[in-house]
Amino acid sequence: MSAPIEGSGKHVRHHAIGMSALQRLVRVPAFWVLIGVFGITLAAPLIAPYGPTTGDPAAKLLPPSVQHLMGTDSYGFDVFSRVLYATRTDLPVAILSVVIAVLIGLPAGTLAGYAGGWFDEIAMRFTEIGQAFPQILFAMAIFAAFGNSQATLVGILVVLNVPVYLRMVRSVVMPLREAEYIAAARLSGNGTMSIVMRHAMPNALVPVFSQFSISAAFGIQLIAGLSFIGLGVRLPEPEWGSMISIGAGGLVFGQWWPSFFPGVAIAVTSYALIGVGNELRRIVLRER
Amino acid sequence: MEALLRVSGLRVGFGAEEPRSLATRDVGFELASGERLGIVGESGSGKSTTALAIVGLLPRNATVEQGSVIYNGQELVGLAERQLRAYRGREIAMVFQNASTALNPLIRVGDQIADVVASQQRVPRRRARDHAVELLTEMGIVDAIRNARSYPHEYSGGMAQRALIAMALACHPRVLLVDEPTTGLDPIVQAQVLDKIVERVVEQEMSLIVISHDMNVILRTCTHVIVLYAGQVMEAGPCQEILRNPQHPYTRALLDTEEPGEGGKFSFIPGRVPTLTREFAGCAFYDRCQLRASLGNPMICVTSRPPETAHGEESRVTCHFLSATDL
Repeated sequence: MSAPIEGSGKHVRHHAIGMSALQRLVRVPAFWVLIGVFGITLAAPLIAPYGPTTGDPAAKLLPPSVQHLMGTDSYGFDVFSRVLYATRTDLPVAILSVVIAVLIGLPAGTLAGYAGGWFDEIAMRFTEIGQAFPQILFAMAIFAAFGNSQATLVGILVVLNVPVYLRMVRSVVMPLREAEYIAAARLSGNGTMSIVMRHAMPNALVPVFSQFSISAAFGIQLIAGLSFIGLGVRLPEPEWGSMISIGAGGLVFGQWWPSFFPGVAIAVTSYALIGVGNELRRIVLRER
Repeated sequence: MEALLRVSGLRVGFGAEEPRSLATRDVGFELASGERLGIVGESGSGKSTTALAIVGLLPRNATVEQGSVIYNGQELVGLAERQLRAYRGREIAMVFQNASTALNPLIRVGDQIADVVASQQRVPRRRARDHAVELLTEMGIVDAIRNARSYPHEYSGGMAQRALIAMALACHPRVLLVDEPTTGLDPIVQAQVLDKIVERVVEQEMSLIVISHDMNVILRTCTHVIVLYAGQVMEAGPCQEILRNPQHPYTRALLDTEEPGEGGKFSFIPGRVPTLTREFAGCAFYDRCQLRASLGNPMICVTSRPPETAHGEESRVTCHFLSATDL
């Protein structure tokens, strides 16, 4: 009987994404801005003084005032109310499309990285083709082919985001093929599927998690960009990009408010999402 | 006695281009039920490749060109992954060389062991976790309840090695394969881990294969030994017999390196292990052999492969000059 070995003694609290991560996040201003944006999304009907699509023809292009905090646009819509309500268009489309992209990219990337072979070849060629197209041109072509709807918009964002996640996950999983703990798991008689789910995929979750909000930010910018040229979200549905486009014509006449405030909304939301994403990435890099 | 595991004529090649690198050229041995076998040799002699070939976990660029691995009457070479799974863990378990890299850094050690228990014995998660704690305790890890909840980076090398062995034992295998069980462990922990392995193997009436470059490790744990050189068996037999009366010049040289000789100097074997791509018409050990030099470099050593000759009670040796070594 050999003598027992003492524990290593250094029982450091180890939570990759746990308390310490949250404690660091609350110190980032972007985090609170993002919370605010989500709050607005939920409470838009309570805060907004007017309906998002109830225009007053008698109150066109009024400058910001107490009645209309951000003025009104050329249809007589209250800009402030529409800026608030637009979070309910932009955020769900952006987030839904990233979620779908992750749901496709994560398993596909894992399979490509772990199994390799013909699936990897085909998947990589498709991502290369996809990433070779200019995004806006690609989106315009798809809208032309499939018609102008929000479903098409989500589809386009998914197609543009899947390659990002597929490549990211593949690059994390690929070196694991040679990892000894994977071999050890195979040696214990585990099936390929359970090994991939338990040992390979979790490694990819962390980078995917930190990329998520950054993708959502780019999603919002693309939605706004496409709506600006009249694709995706259609009037009178409130959307920041289309609001900018409505007001753009008046800019030369000094009517800055219909475009300026939705532009600020895009900038603030993107800042919040990217800021949180970057902080998450930093947390991951330092702690792992 | 009927062998539980019979490896014969095993030849494993690496890479695609000719000439192929041969990690093993001709490895054969039998493992009886309850036997404890050591495989000893320098780095590059094909020890680990032999082990990986047995469990069917050779790297993608390696293939078994010849030979067979027969476990309990079933040929394992060429079996599909799905079929091999029935043997891995349950029948033949293996403990890898680097304990710290063989544990998944993201999962608590106890959960990793419980995973194996749950999949092998089909018991509920809670039971599996309790059993993992028991296994850790049996391997001599104190405060196993707390340590089961630790992550691998909180483990010392010796603890990680014990955890891995616990994981292998969770499957109740009939053959336990241990590859370099003492890498990175200090001598005291080494001895503890080795004794623990033997204790558990004897207790559960398993067979054991220990792979090591260190003859002392083999002697401490095993009843039988085979000496590998350049992917071939040079000598094989019971430890005591070989220790007392080594026949092959390579075995002798290996044993000499373990003890300091005259003047307290450790001896070494001059030269190096031949490259894996080299072809041999004669004896693989010719270049470094002291015996042939003293015999005046006989031609037969270069022109023909030495046959396997029985000697002693149950030993065999691969040398043209078996009788000459008694000179």
